[in-house]
Amino acid sequence: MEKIIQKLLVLTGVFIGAAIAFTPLTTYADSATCRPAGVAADPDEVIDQNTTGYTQQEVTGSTNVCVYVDTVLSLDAANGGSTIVMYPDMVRTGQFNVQVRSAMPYTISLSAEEPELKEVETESYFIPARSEIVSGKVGWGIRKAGQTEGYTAVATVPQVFFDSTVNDNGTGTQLADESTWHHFEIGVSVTDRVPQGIYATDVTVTAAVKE
Amino acid sequence: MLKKTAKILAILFFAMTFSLGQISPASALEAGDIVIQIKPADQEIELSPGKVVYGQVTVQNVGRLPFTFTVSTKPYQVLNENYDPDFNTENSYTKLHNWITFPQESFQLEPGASQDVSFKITVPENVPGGGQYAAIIVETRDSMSSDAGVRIISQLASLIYAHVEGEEHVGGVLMSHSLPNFLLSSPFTARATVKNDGNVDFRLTHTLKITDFFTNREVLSADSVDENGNFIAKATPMILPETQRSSAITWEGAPQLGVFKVTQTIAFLDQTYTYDQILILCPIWLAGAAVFFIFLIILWVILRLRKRKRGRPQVI
Repeated sequence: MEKIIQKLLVLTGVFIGAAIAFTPLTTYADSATCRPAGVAADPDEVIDQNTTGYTQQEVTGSTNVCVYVDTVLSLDAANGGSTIVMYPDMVRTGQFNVQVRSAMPYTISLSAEEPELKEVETESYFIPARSEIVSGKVGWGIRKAGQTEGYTAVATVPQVFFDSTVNDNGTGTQLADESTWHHFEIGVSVTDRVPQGIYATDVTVTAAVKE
Repeated sequence: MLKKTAKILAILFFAMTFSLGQISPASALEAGDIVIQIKPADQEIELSPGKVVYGQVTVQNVGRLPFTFTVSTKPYQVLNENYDPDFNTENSYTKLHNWITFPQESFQLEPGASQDVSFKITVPENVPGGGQYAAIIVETRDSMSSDAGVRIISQLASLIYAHVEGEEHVGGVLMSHSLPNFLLSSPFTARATVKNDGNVDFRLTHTLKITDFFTNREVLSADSVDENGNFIAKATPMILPETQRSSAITWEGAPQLGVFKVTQTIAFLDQTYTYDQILILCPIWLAGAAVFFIFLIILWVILRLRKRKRGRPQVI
């Protein structure tokens, strides 16, 4: 018994030693002596290329070039919402895509003046906005970024469906990859009691930076 | 059999006639067709009671198709500690949107063109000093695909942080902070929550400095940047009056194993808080192996002691 434990001790010791030896250790980050382009202005800083704070190497006397980039926000949400062909008692899904370009953290909020999907010709019938989209129940909803179950009912008041400080990587400081498209899944369910027709609504996508 | 066929036919008929929004595929818009851009995305403006201030935002068409856009204003507040925007609530800090007027509210913009949209802020007499917050909303309905069940209206909000001259109350409290000292797997995140007790906004400066415990070499500092030039150990969030906000800094790419000295600095107004901590990072499998190793040592010692006891000569 003692011999077995001795062998286990040696093996565990070798394993721990090897594991420590092969575990990747620290990497060192780069430092900025000048505010990088696209980063929000620090209110305590005064932008002046010739001040000491912006001098990169005082030994060589070279001066860092600092360019002030204004905060810009752009939105491409035009390719939204394709046709969803419905079958009774089945949950069907579609999606629309939104791209926001910003050097600062941002949010994408959704709202609708009329949250119900209305039958376009008569406007007499509608599919209500719901968070629970299941077969056998009439409703529609949009899934928030990071939402794994269920949907969120679009309301008249804007609600945040994507937050770059939370949904990109949860760091609170990292910014969204500017080439990232955000895909919002639409879930719809109808029953055979819903009259046939084309149902639609207008959804407002609002992008705003988060200072 | 007949019933089954009839049911299938009924479903097919239903599917053909019941759809969400199909009108004409020719009207479909594609990515890059209608792209609206605004600058600045936010701005700070100083105001005085009874005075008029002029400002402007620039709207650009960076898409392939021309579009028409309108401008309007909305109140700007936040909903929670995460600072989800609220463009509906009206309170004493959101009167600004009523003071803003536009000489022109509708514009047509060709691809590649930009339009300066000027606005006038007429500050009433006798308004109290402090912060006022609003959003200039730029909206286009040309992004609505007519063949879609969900037709998208595109809106961009340019935030205005205004400060009205007068009696300003400046005050803030550090509500909580966290700085882990031992982590098995999850990423290292330092947090701070600050409350603004005053009537004007201020910025929180939250930084981390991490040095190797053994070599004293700096791993991260407030000036550290990622490959895109973004600060990775510094956050400077704005805190609006009568709200509290959480700031989190996560050490991305932290090693799995190591011992570090961490300094968290939380500064706002004239207050600075500094917290030092030793941080031990150890992967869970290594911690498990170490516990097993210790267990084996204890077992081995016990067995050795027992063996020695047995091996001793017995005195009768």
